[in-house]
Amino acid sequence: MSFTTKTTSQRTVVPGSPPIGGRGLLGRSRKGVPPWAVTISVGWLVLLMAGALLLPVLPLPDPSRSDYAAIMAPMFSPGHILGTDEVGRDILARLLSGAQVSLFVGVASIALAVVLGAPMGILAGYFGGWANRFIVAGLDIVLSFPNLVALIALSLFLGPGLWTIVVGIGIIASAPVARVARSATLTFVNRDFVTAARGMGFGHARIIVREILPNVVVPVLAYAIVVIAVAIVAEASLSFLGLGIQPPDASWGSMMGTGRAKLTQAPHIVLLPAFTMALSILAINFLAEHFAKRFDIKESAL
Amino acid sequence: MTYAKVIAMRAVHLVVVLLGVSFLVYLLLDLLPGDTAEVLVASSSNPTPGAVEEIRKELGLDQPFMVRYVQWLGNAITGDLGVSFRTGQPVTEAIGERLPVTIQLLIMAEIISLAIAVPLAVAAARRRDQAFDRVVSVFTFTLQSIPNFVVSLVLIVIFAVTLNWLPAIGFVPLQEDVLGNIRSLLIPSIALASALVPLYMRVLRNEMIRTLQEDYILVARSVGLTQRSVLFRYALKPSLPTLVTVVGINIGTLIGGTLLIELISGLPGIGTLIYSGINNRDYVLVQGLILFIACAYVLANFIVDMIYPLLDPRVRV
Amino acid sequence: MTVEPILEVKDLRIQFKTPQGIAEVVNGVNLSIAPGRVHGLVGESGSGKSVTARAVLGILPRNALHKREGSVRFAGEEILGLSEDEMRKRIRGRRIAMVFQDPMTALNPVMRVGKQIVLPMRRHLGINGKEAKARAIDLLGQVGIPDPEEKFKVYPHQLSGGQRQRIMIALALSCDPELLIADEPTTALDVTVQAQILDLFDKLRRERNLAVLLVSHDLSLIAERCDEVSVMYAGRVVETGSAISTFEAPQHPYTKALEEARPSLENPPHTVLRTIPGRPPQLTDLPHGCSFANRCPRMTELCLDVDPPLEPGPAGRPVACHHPVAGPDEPLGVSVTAAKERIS
Repeated sequence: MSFTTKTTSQRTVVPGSPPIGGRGLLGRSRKGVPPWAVTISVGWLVLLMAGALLLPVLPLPDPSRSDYAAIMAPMFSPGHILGTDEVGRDILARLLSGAQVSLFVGVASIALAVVLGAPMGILAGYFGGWANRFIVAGLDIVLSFPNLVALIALSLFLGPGLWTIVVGIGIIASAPVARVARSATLTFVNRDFVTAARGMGFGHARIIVREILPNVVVPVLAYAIVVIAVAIVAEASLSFLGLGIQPPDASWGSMMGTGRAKLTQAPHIVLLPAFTMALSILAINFLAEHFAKRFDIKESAL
Repeated sequence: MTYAKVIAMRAVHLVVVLLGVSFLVYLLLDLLPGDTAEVLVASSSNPTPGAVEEIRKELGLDQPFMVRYVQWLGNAITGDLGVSFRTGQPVTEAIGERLPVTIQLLIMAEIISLAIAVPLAVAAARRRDQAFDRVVSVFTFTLQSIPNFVVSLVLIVIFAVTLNWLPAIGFVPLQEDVLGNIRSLLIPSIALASALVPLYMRVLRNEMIRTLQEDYILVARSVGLTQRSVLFRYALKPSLPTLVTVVGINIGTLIGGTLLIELISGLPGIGTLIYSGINNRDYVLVQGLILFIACAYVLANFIVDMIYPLLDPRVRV
Repeated sequence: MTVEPILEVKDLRIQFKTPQGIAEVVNGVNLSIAPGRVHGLVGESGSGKSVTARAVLGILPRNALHKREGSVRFAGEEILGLSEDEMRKRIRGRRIAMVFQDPMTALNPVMRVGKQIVLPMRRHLGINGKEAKARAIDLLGQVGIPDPEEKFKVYPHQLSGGQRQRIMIALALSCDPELLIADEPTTALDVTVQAQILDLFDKLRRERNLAVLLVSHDLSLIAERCDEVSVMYAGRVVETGSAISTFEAPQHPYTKALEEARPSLENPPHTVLRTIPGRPPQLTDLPHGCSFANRCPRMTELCLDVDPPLEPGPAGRPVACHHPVAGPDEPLGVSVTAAKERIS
C-alpha cells in the first residue's frame, strides 16, 4: 500500500539536496518522537486508565464524599495523599474519577465522530459532483462555529451532562474527520486499482468497502488520536464553565472551575487537575505524533 | 485565475456559508424546549393564564418557522438582533458595549504570539536540527498540550497571587488608565497566546526551512548580505503567506479561548456576556451572540483569504 | 606572460556528510586564474566543479564538513580560513561575485528586482538609497535591459528567463567585483539567449578586466568561450591549460574521451558518438589509485595502486595521468589484461 510507505529518497552526493522529512508537530525533522517519550506517554496513559478502572476497588475515599475534618487539606496529608478540595473531597480520588470521564468522553466522542464523519467524507470524495459540493458546504457551515461556541449552543439544547458532551463533541469533530476522510478518498479514487475495480463492473458499494475504506482507515484513525486530546480539553472547558459534568460528579474541568475560587488559599486544588490534564494531553499528542510519523500523515491533509 | 475572480468565488461561498450559519443558529435555538414566551411569563411576578399565548402572538412566535426565520434574518441583516428580555437592552447594543474589550484582548494576544513566534521560528529554522531547535520544538510541543485556561490559572497563581505583580481579576478601561488597562489584559492575552505560539512557530519554522533552501537565498549569501538581512529581508517575506492562513484558521480557537479566559479574568467582553446569557436563559441574547461570533469568524477567515494572495506578487494582479 | 593570478586554488579538499558516509567531493583541486581571463571548469555532473566554485565563496551546503584542506588565495590573500563575517564583509559580492544556473529560481520572487540589486550595494559600498538606485539603473542598462528605470520596479516573474539572468549578472556586478564565478550560467536558457549572455560576459570582461570562472558541463561552450580550461573528474582537476591546446591535443584519456563524445558540426550527420563506458566512482568510496582507472582504456596496474599527480605532460600542460596521450593521432591504448582482471 503506497500510502503508508514513503520511498526513502535516494540521496545523491550532489550538494543542495535537502533532507526529506515530514511536517509533524515536532517540526520538519527526520527524527520522530524519541522512543523514551513514547514509552513514558504510554506508561502515563496506562497508569491513568488503570487508576480510573480500578477506582472502585482502590483504598481511596469516595470521590464525592466530603471529609469535614479535612477541608482544603494540603498535599501529603494523612488519609489524603494529594489533599482535599474546598469541600473536603479527596483530590486523588476525584482525579481518577475525572480520568474516567475524560477517557470515556475522549473515546466515545471520537467513535461517534468517526461513525458520522468518515462515511460523509468518503461519499463526498468518491462521488464528487453535487454530493461533494453539498457535503463540503455543510462541513464549512459546521466549521464556521468556533468549537466551544458550538458546544455551548449544543449543551444548551441538549441540557448539560455527560452524554451531551459526547454527542456534542462527536457531531462537531465529525466535520474535520469528514475532511480527512474526503481528502484521503480523493487521493485513491483515481488510482489504478480503483479504476480497475470499476472496469470489472463492481458496484460502488463494493468498491468503497473493499478498495477505498482500507486506505482511508489509517489517516482517519491517526487523526482521531489528535481529536481525542481535543475532546478531552473540550469536556474540561465545558465542565469548567459549569455546562458539562454536574456536581457532585468529578471532572478535571469542574475541579478547576470550582477550585478557582480558592486559588489564593489552596492553589493545589486547581493545579493538580491542571497538571494531570496537561500531562495526559501531552502524552496523547506524543502518541498522535508518533503515529502520524509512522504512517506519514501530512498535516496539510487536515 | 485572476485575483478578482478568486475574490468573487470566495464571496459567493461566503454568502452561502453565512446563510447556512444563520439558519442553523435559528433552528437550534428554535428547537429549544421552552420558548421565550414561557421564560418571560415564568419570570414575571404575576403570571396570568393565557399570558403565554398573548406574548407568543406579540412576539410573532405563532407564525410558521420559515416565516419567522426570514423575518429574523431580515432584522439581523439590518443590525437588529432583538432585545434581551432580561435587561431590555437591544442585543446589538450589548454586543457593541462588550466588543471593544474582546477585540483588544484578541489583538494583544495576536501581537504577543507573533512577537514571540516569529523570532523563535526564524532562529530555529536557522539552527535547524541543532540543540536550540530541538529545545524550542519540545517546549512548544509541551505548551501546545496545555489548554489556555489552564495556562491562565497557572499565570494567575504565579504572577498575581504569589508575586503580586499583576491583577488577578478585573478590567481597567483604556480611557481611564492606559497602563492599568494593559496590565489588566496581560495575563489573559498571554494565556490566549500560549495556544497560538506553538502553531505559528511550527508553521513559520517549516516554511522558513523550505525557503532557506531556495536558490535565491544562496544568491543572497553569495553577495555577502548579513545573516540578519538574509533571514529577515530575503527569507521571511516569502515564508509569510502560510503563517497568515494559519492565523486565520485559528481565529476560531482564539474566540473559543476568550470565552473561558474572560470569565477567569473577569473581563467584561463577549465571552462573559454569552456566559451570563446562558445562565439567565436569555435565548435572544445567546442566539444573537452565537450568530455574531460565527459571522465574525467566517468574515475574518474571508479577509485572511484575501490578504494571502497580496503577499505574493505573482498572484497579485 | 607572468601576470599575478587573481585566484589561486591549491590542493583544495572538501568533504560532505552523506547517508552513505563521507563523500570526497573535492579531492585536491588546483586552479589559477589571471585578471581579465576566462577560465573554464568542465566536467560531468558530480565531478565537484560547482562545489569548487562555491567553496571559493565559502557558501557550501549544510552537509559540507567544516574541515577544509588546501588553500584558496585571492589577490594574494588566503581566504579559505577567513571567518564568515570577514567573507561576508569583504569578499562575497564585494570582490568575488557569482552568477547561478537557474535565473527562474535565483531571484527572490517577492522582492522587486531593483531592491535586490540595491541591497548589496548599500551594504558594501556604503552609499545611500538614491545613489544605489541610480547605479542599479545604470547597471541594468549596461547588461542590456531595455527601459531600466521601469524594470527596476518590477518583480522577477514579470521578466523573461534571459532578462532575469541579465538581472542576476547586474546583481553580481553591482559592487564591481574582481572575479566573477558563473556556475552553468546559460544551461537553463534558450540557445539564442545563451549566446547573448555569453557575449555579455565577454564584453564585461574586456571593459572591467574581470576574471571569470566559467563552470559548465558543456564542452563546446568552454572550448569557444574560455582562455584556459581545467577538466575535472571525481573531485580532481585531471588536466589543465589553454583551452585551444587542451581540446586540440588532449593528454588525459578522460579529456580525449570527452572530446570524442562531443557532437560537432564537422562530423557528418548520423555519426555515432563515442560514449565513455562505465560510471564515475562513488565519492564515498574512492579507489586507491587513479579515479578514472576503471573506465580508462590505458589503465595499468600502476593506475590501480598510485594516484597520478598533476604534472606537466607530453604537451607541456599539467595532466594527472600515468600514461598520458602523446599526440592527437595516437589511438587510445590497449589496456593491460592483468590490471583489468584485478578490478573485475
